[in-house]
Amino acid sequence: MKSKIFSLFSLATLLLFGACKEGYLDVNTDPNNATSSTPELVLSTALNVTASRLTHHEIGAFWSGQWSPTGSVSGFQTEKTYTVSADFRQGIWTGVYDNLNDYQYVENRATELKQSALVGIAKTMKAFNFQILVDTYGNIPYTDALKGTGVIRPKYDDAKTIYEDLIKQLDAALVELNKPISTDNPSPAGADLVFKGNMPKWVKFANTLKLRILLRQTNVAGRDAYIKGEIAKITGGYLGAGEDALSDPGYQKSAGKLNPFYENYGFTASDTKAGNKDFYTYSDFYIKTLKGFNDPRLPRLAYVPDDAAFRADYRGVPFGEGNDLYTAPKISAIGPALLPQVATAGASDLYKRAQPVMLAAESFFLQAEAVQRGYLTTGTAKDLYQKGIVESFRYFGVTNAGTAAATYYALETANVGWDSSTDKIEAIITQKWIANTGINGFEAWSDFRRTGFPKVPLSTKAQGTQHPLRLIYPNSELGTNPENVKAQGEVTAFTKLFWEK
Amino acid sequence: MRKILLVSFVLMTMLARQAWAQDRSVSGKVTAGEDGSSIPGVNVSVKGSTRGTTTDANGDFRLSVNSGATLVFSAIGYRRQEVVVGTQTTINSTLTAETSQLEEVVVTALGVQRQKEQLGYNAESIKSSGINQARAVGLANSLAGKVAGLQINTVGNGVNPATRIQLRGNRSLTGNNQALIVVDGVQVPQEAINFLNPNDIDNITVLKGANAAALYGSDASNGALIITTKKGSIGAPKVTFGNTSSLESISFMPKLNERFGGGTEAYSRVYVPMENQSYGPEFTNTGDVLVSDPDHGGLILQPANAVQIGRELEDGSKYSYPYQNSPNSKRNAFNTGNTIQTDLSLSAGDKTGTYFISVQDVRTNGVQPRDTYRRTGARLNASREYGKFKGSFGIDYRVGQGNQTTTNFYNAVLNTAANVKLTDYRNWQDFKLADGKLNPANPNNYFNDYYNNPYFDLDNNRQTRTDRYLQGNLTLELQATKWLNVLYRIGITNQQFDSKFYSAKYNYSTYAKGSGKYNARDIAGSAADFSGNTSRLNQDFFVTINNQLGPISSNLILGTNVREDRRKFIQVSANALVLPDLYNVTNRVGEPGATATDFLTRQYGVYADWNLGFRDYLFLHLSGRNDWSSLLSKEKRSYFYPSADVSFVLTKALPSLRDLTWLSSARIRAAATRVGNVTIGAYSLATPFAVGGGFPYGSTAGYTQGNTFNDPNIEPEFITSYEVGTEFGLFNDRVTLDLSYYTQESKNQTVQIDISQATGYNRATINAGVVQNSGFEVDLKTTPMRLQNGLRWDFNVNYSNTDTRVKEIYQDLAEINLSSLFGAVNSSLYQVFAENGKQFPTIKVVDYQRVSATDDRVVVDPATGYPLKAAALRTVGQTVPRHRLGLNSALSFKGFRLAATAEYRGGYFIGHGLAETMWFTGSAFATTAYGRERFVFPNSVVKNADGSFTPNNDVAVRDGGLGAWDSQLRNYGTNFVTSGDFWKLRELALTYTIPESFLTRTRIIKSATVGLVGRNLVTLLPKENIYTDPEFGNTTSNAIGVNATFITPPTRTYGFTLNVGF
Repeated sequence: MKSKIFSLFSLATLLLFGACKEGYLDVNTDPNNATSSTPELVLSTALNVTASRLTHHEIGAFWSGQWSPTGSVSGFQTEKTYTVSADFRQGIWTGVYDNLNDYQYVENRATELKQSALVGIAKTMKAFNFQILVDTYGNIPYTDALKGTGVIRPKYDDAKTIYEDLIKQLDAALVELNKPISTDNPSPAGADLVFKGNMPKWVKFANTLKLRILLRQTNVAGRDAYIKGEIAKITGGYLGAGEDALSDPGYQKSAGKLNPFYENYGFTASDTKAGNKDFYTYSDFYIKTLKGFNDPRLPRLAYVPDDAAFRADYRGVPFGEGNDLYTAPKISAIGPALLPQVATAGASDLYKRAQPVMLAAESFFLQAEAVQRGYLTTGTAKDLYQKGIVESFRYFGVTNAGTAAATYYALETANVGWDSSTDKIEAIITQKWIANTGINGFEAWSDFRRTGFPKVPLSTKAQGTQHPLRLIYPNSELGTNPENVKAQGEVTAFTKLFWEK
Repeated sequence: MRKILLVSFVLMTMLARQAWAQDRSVSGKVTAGEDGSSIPGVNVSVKGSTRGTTTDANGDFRLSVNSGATLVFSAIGYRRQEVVVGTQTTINSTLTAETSQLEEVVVTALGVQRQKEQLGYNAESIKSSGINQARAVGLANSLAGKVAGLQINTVGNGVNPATRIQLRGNRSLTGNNQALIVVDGVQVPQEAINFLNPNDIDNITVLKGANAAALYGSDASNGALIITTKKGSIGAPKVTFGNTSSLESISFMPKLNERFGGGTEAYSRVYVPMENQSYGPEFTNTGDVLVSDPDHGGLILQPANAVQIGRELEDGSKYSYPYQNSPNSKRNAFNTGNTIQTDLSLSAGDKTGTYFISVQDVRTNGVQPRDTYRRTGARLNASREYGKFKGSFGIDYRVGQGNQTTTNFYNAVLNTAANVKLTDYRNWQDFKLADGKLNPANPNNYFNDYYNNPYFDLDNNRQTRTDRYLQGNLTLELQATKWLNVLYRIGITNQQFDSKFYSAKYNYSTYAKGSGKYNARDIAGSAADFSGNTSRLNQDFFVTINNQLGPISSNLILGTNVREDRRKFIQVSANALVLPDLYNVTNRVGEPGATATDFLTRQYGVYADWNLGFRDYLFLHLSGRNDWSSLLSKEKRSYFYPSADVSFVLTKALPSLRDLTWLSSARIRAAATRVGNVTIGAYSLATPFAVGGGFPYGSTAGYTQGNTFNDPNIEPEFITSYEVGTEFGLFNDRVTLDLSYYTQESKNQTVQIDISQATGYNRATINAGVVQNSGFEVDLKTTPMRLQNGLRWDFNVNYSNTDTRVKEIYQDLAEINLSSLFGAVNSSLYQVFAENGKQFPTIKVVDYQRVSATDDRVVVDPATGYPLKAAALRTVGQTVPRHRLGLNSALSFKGFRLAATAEYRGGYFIGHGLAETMWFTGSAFATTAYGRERFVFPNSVVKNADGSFTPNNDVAVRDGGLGAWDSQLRNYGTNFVTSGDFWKLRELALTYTIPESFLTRTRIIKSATVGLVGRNLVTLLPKENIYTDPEFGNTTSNAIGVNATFITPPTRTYGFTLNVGF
C-alpha cells in the first residue's frame, strides 16, 4: 500500500514538474484567427465594404429629396427634424475610418512588396473615402490618421488642405496605376472586385474621382484657376460609356452574402421581406419631379402602391410625414431596377447585382458641368449631358435605352431637354440626382449642398428653416479625442463646409 | 465533521514538548458535547507549564501531572475547558462547540484551517445553516446580504440566471473584478457556483482582500469564496431527506399607461386598431371613438364598448372589444412559477474513513410561460487514512437542462396597447376557432401590424441547453514526520454544453401578406447548434513544515501550482429552413454558418507562505509567489508578488485586558499585499485579421484588420492593497464587532481603451490606468436576548462602503466606454463609462441643454417648446452601490426558528433599458404625465439673442402625445436613469424542528424540520423608480448599471420545506 502511495506521489511530481519543461508555456499562438494576411486579401474586403456602405447614401437620399421613410416606421426623427446630435449615425465616421485602415494596410504592405497596382488602387480608394469624410464632417484627422497607437489622438487637418492633398495623392496613385503589370507587379485581378485588374479603367476611375473632388469646389472663391489647372493635367480619360465602377464579389443567395442593397432594403436569402423593406420609399417631391418629366425611369425605379385604393398612380411621402396614410402598401415601393416586387425563388437575380461605386452616368455629368463651367475643353456640355442620360437609362434597364433616352432628352421640359433648360447647371445636377437614385444618395446630397439643386422642399417636421449642411463629430470622437474636437469650435448641422454654397 | 478537519490540522502542527518528572499519571477520553463522539487531536496541557499532549485517534490521552494541577483542553472549533486535577486518575472531558468570534476556525487558502485570531486580514465564515435558511436554488443568491463587502448581482431573472460576485468593489477597469471561487482547495471557474448544490456546502469563508493570492495566484486578487463541502461524520450512517416546494410570482411591474389605447403619429388622438404604439385617444366608457380605418382609409366612429381590434380579417369579419384599460393583463400574461427541490444525503464514517453522498434534483418552471430548468446531480466526498497517509477525494456531477424562449417576451407584453387583453391570445395555433370564427390570436389575424403575438414568438423561438458539469479533486497527503507534511492535490473541472437555438418557419396567408400588415412576412426559420467544452486542470504540490522554538511557532508552506485551461466552442447554423419543424442545419436553404474556436492557457507558480506565532497573541504571516503565464510574451511572463500581515490579540497579550469581564476578546490586525494579475485572454498579443463580412463569396476570400490594436508587450497589472482592522467581543461575546478599512490601488492595468477611430482602430489594449479603491466594513453580531427558557434572538448587521475612483486612464484620455467595450447596452442614450477622476463605473446620458453646470433649468426651442439637446453626454453618477447594509435576524424558541435577511443598497444609479421602448410605444406611465395634452416643459427657459435666459411659462410643446414623448423626449437618456437604491427583504424563514421525544416513537425518524420559506418578499424602491427592481442587470461584465427587457420581471418566491433525518 505504502509503495503504491509513494508511486502515486511520484507520478504527481512528474506531472507537476513536467509543466516546467521548455516550451510548456509557449502555447499562445492563435489557432482561431489569421495573424498575417496579404494585401490582396485585405483589398477585396476593403472594396466590398466601400461598395456596401449604405448609411451615408441613405442620409443623402433623404436630405437630397430622393427618399423618405414610410408611415410604417416611426423612427427617423432626426432625419425629419434636422436635430442632428453627436449620437446620430456615428457609423459614418467609424465605418469609413475602419475601411480606410484596410486601404492603408494594403498601401503599406504593397509598397513594401513593390506591387504598384495595389498601391495605386489603395491610394485611389483612400482619396475616395477621405472625400466622403470631409464632405460629412469638414475638418477631420488626416495627416495623423491611420497610425494605430502611434498617434492615438490625431489632430484635425483643415478640410480645404485635405482636399488639395487628395488631388496630390491621386496624382501619386495614377503614377502607380500606370506602371505596367509584370511578374514583379502582378495583376490584382483576383482581389480587384471592381475592374478585375483592368488598370486603364482604374486610371479613368481615379481621373473621374479627381473631377468629382475638383468640381466640389466650384463655390470656393478664387479657386477657378486651380480647378482648371488641375483638370488640364488629367490624362488617360474618364469613365466612358458602359464603364460603370461596380463592385462584384460574386454575391450569393445566402444570408450575409446577398447584394447589400437587396439584403438591407429588399429581401432575405430565403425570399422573405427584409426588416427594412417597408420603411423606405420615395419622397413626394421625387415622384412628382419624375412624373413632371414624364421620366421613363420612374417605372424602373418605383412600383405603384399595392393597396388597391392607391394603385392608380405612383405615390411618395411628403418628407417628414409618416402617418397611416403612408404605410407601405399605400405608397410606391422601390422599383424593379433596384428591387423585385416579391422575391419568389428564381423570380429575380437582383440579389447578385454588382454594387455601384460610381456610375459612368456620373462621369458624363461631371464632364458636362466641367465643360459648362469652362474648366474642361474636351467635348460639349450638351453632348456629355445627353450621354449621361443615356448611361442612366442603360443602367436602370429602360427598354431600348438609347432611343428612349433620345426621346426623353428631346422633350422641351426644363431640366430634361438641354436647350429647354434655362439653368444648365440645374439640368445637369437634376439629371445626376436622378441617375444616382438608389446608387449614391450621398453624392446627390453633396450636389444639393453645393448647388441647391434640385430645389428640395424642407421637411414638414423641420425644426428650423434650413436644410442640414453636415453632420457633427460623433460622441465616440468627443470621448476619445476631445481636445482636437473642441479645437474645431462650435459645430452644428448648419455650420457651413468650406465648399458649401 | 469538525473532528476530521481537526485531524488534518493536528497532523500538520508539530508541537515540541518537553518531558518533566511528574508525580503521577492521569488518563481520560475527550468527547464532543453535541453527539458524544470522541475527539482526536485535542491539546491537553497543564496550566502554567509547557507540559502537554494530544488525544489519539480514539480521543484518549495520558499525561503525567502534579497534584492540584489544572488541565486545559483546547481544540480548534471547541470551547476551551479547564479541569482541576484532584485525586482522580481518570479525567474525561466533554467539549462544546466553539462560537467565540476570535477563536472561530476559518478555512484559508489551500484548504488550510486557521483560527481567525491569527489572521491579519478580514475573513468571514458562513455556515451551512446561514446559507440555506431560505433554500435558494442558486448558491450565489443565498449569500446576498450576509457578508459585509460582498455584492451579488443577478443577471436577468430567468430560470437559470447568471450572477456577478464581487468583493470590495472594483479594481480593474476592463479586466475581471469577480471573486475567485475555490471548492475544497481547488480553484474553479466562475460558472461553477451555479452548479453547486447549496445543501452540500459545509461552510464558506469569504476572504475579502487579496491575501490568498500567494497561494491561489492572481485570480485571488479580487478576494475569494473558499467553499468547503460536507464530509462524512464518524458514527452510524445518517440519512437525510429534504424537499422544498415553492411558488414564484411577479413582484414588480413597471408603472403603465392605463389611460390611452392604440394610436400613433403626432397631433392625432385617433385610435388605430393595428398599432403597436399607445398614443390613441383616452378611454371613455361611453360614446364613440374616432378610429382610423385601417382597411379603407379615413376616419370612422365606433362605439366605445366595441371598437375594432386589428384589421378586417380574411372572412370579412372584424374582431372587436371594449375600448378600455385591460387591468392586470400584462402581469397575468406571465405564469406563476414553481420549483420543486428534492435532496437526499448519506453521511457515515469511522476512525479511518468517512464518506458523504448527496443527490439533488431541482425542477423549475419559470414565470415566463414554458421556460424550464432542471438541475440534477450528485456529490461523493470520501477520505481514508492509512497511518501516515491520507487520501481523500470529492466528485460532483451535475446536469443542467434548460429550455427558454429567445424572444423578448417581457418587452412584447409591456408594449402591447392597454386596451388589448393579452391573456386572450395564448392559443395562437388555430386559424379558426371551434365556433367557426377566425382566431384573433393566430398570427394571420393578430391585431398588431408590427409586433407578433408574444405567445407565438415565445413558442417559436427557443433555446435548449444541456450542461454537464463535473468537478473532482483528489488529495494525497503524507505526514512524513511530526513536522513535515507533504500534500498533492489535483482538481479537474469540466463543463460541457450542447445548445440549440431555433426559430420556427412560418408562412403567412396570402390574405395577411396582402393586407398591409407589416409583420406578415414569412419567417424563414433557423437552427443553430452550439457545443462547447471548458476544462481546467489544477495541480498543487506543497510541503508544510511546522516548528516550535520556545514561544515561537512556525508554519511554512512551500509549494508549486500548475494550471491549464482549455476551451473549445463549435457552432453550426442554418439561416433558413426548407421543411418546417425540423431544426437541423442540413434542412436549410443557403450556406451554413460554421465557426470553431480553441483556447489554451497555462500557468505555473511557486510560492512560500510563512506563518509565525509568538505565544498565543502575536501572529505574522509572510508570503511570496512567482508566476509564469502563457498569456504574456516570453520576456514579460514571469512576475513576483509578496504579502505580509500581522495580528495582535490584545486580550491575550495584555493582562490588564484579560481580566476585564465585559471584554471577551479584542485584537487588531494589519495587512499589506501586492498582487500581479494578467487580465488579457489567450492570443491577445497580436492584432489578428478577421474574415471580411460576407466572405468567402464562393472562392473569393477576404480579410480585414481587427479593430482592437493589441500591444505585444503587455505586462501584468499590479494591485497594492492595505488593510487594517480590529475585532472586539463584548459581554461574553454577546456582542462582537469587526471593523475593517482598506485601500487598494491597481496600476499599470491592462486596459482596452477606446481610441479615436481615426487611428484606424477603435480600441487598443495597452498597459495604463490607475484605479483607487477604498472602503470600510462593519460587522456587528449581537445576541440581544438569550433566556433560560431557550428563547434566543441573534441580530447581525453588516455594512460596507466602497469608494472606487479612476485616477488615470491613459495620458489625458478622459474615458472608456464600457458599454460598447463589453457589448452590454445597445442604446447610445445611456451608457456605462470609466471616467477619469470619477467613481467607477459611471452612467452617462444624452441630456437636455441646461442653463449651466450649476443651473439645471432646461433650455427649450422657443418655436417648438421642445428641449434642446446638450452637446455632450452628462455623467449621472456611479452604477455600483456606495453603501450596502445587510440585516440578519434569527429568533429561536423551543424548536421554532424565525430567520430573516434584509439588504439595502444605496448611493448609485441605474439605467432602465426597458423604459426607452415603453416611451416609444407610450406604454410607460411617464408618457401620460400631462394627459397627452400640450404642456410647458417644467423648469424650462428660453435662450435670448443676447445669451441670457428667460423662464419659459408659455411656450408649450407642439404636441403632447407621440410628438413629445416618442419623437422628442425619448431621445434623452436622462429620462431613463433613476436612483438604484432599494431595500429588500431577501429571506424569511419560519421553521419548526419536531422534538426528538416525539420522534423516538417512530423508531425510524431521528430528526424532522418543517418550515415556510420566502425570498424577495418585499422590495422597496424610491418613488422615481417606476420601472423595475434595480438588482437585475444585463451583464456580468464591468459595464454593470443598465437593465434590459430581456431579463424577465422581478419575482418573489414562497414555499414549504421539509427535512427529515433517519
